[in-house]
Amino acid sequence: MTHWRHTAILCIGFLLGVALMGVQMASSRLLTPYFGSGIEVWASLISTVMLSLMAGYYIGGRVADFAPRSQVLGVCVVAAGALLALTPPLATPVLDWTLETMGDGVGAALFAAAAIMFVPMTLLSFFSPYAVRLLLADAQHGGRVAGAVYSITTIGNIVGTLGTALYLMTKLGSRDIMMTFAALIAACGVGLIALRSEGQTRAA
Amino acid sequence: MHGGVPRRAVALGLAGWAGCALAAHAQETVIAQRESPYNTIYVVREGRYIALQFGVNRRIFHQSLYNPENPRELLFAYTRYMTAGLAYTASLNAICEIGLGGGRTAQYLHLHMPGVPIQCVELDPEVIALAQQYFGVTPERNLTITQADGRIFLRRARERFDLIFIDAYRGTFVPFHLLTREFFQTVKRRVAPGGAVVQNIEPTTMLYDAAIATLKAVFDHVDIYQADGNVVAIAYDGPVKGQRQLRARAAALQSQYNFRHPIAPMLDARRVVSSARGQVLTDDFAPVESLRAMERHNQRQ
Repeated sequence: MTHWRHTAILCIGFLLGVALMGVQMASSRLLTPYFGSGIEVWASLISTVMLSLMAGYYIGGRVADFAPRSQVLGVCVVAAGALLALTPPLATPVLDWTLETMGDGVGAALFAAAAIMFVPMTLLSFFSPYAVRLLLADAQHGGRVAGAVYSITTIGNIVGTLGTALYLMTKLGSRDIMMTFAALIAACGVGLIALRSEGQTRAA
Repeated sequence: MHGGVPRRAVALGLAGWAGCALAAHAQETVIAQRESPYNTIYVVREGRYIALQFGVNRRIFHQSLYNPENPRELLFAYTRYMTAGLAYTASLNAICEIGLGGGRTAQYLHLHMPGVPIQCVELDPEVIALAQQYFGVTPERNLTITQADGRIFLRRARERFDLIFIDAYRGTFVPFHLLTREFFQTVKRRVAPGGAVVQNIEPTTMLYDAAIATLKAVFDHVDIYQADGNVVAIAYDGPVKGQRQLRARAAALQSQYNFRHPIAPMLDARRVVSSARGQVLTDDFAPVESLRAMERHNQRQ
């Protein structure tokens, strides 16, 4: 593990952290016209993101042990970006359908939030446990590696939340914001795939 | 939350409330304080009036002012001008009000026109409870109060209303989904033929221009009325309603219902919006926060 590679993975962690919260903020704008801006809508959104993190951390951790290669993580992250890119064209029909069939209650809001975000956000949150596995040279430094990964992605979360709310939303529509983050996520995934080949050449 | 005056805030010092223009001289006592999921709500006795106020950042925003000795008195100019919308109606079979607040407009209309069904929609359950307890707004025949998000209520509604009042403020601001083109399209589908939409708008920021432009993008005609610190916008479809037509309708309604605040004189303040230069807000792109942060420099439209 070169120092360069180490830094690159943490930088990607930061960018994915930005994207995760950016997607959540943009999703809130997608849901509000359908389910109102009541406190329940925010609760549904936050719960859905937490559900994704739960699933992503758990599954991502297991996949990381099974295949500890940044290429595998990269493919998952590219898939997350690709799925999010489907959101802008699909959001309106999915939300209309939810409203027609399930109504506008908390259950419907939860379903709609999950339909939009659950799978891509789960794939996205593979990153943290995976990065720990990739960056871990020996158990002696496990604590600081995990700490670095969680703090850098959380800094990204903060930047993503504030940056989306205070800047992007004043310049772009929520569908464009979603597309921007989908592209950013896919680029990060490609970066992770490229990293792996880099490491391989060096190892070889 | 829904319902209210985006009356310029009055600073709240630690020592207590500074008075607002209408009540600066009066003794103020907080008689109820509630925390709802959306607001901190105060019911304040100001001399002989009762005020509904929302607290945000130690600033107090007046939502409603009520004179228990005379429930037919509308103390805020904008609430009086809201009733000018009645002159725009071809018939009066049903009225809807999005944003109850202290229920001033709804109660005023109900007291004068007990035969006309009025449907109020209010998101905040605490606001509904306080309106009933302190502002004399009790649900009865032809006065229905529903707890719901205004937009969702209108999308699910099947009936049409001759007049839809929109006065939905969450403390200091209007939620973005009640300001977009798609929202007004939903409203438009619930307006009976020959009916109108009446909206209370705070006019000091760029959001005002956007709100007028968005209304104008959805409805054929938009008129505005300056009402002290607020602007009341009235939007309708179909042929232009001339001043003489409005006056005739106002006179007919006056003789039928004997309003405490006659509508005809209000019509003098009418200004027709010919073109709107603000940004049309959509569900996808409604930067309401940044528009609200910008002061309007070109006052007096």
